[in-house]
Amino acid sequence: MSSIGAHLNVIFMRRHWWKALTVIILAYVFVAGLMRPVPKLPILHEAIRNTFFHPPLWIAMMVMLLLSTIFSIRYLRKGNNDDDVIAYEFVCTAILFGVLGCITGSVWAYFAWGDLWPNDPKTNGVAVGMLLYLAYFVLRGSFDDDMRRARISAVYNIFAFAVFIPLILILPRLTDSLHPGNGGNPGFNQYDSDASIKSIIRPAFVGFTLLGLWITQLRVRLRRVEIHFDELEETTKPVLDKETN
Amino acid sequence: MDSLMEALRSDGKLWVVIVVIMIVLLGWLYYLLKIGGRINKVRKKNGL
Repeated sequence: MSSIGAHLNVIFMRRHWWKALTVIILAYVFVAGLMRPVPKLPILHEAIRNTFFHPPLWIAMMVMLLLSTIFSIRYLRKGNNDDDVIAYEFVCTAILFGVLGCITGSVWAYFAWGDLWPNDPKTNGVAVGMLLYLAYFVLRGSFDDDMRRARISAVYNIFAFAVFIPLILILPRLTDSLHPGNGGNPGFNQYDSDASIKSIIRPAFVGFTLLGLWITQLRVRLRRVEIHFDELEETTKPVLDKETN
Repeated sequence: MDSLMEALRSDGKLWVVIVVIMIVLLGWLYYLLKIGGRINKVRKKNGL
């Protein structure tokens, strides 16, 4: 009996090891992010610790959007409805991370730059990018036919990603920007090539992204259950109607 | 506890980090609770 239990444990860990890894990484990031010594910089002071929580949200968002685009391309190539479901759920999770990125960025900007929404190409680019993806939801909601909705929103999703990346990664680097590493500003690494920042921010990128994957997996599984019950209802409805007549 | 209070006052902006962390955690919690709500809806609808 105990060997069966051990066997089940092995199977469980084989499938879910990355979830355990997510929890460990996030615990490390939140504890170390608050307690480990950080470089002392003017204006920022201790708020430099936001580096461990604000940029990883954007990295996770971009990974989610990239994966969503890949599944949209896959849907267009293979026509499998499940790929459309996965692409949609990735966008939903990406928007969650994006909204949190906007709010945390606003709070940080208020105390570092003196404005909740400074006139900065990166913040403005993000606002436009988020609107692009909100339009994706509106577009999806405007179709009754499942096939048409999936096909057209997949095309739009690919287009949105192709516009979003230049808006937040390329254009801010071409003009003056408040964000480090943009518009001729030096990145944090030039000040702090010590390991104190890197040893937390890199695991944070991985941990936040893994959490995004985990949340998306939950949403996709739930959506599949909803679709299954909807289909079941549709197939049993005519039978029930006949019986009542 | 006193030293923590002192640090929060004097270090400059550590509490901004606390606010940011709270926003992130509350955002994730809200999203997970929303998933829970959807599961309850499916269960009720299908009499599970």
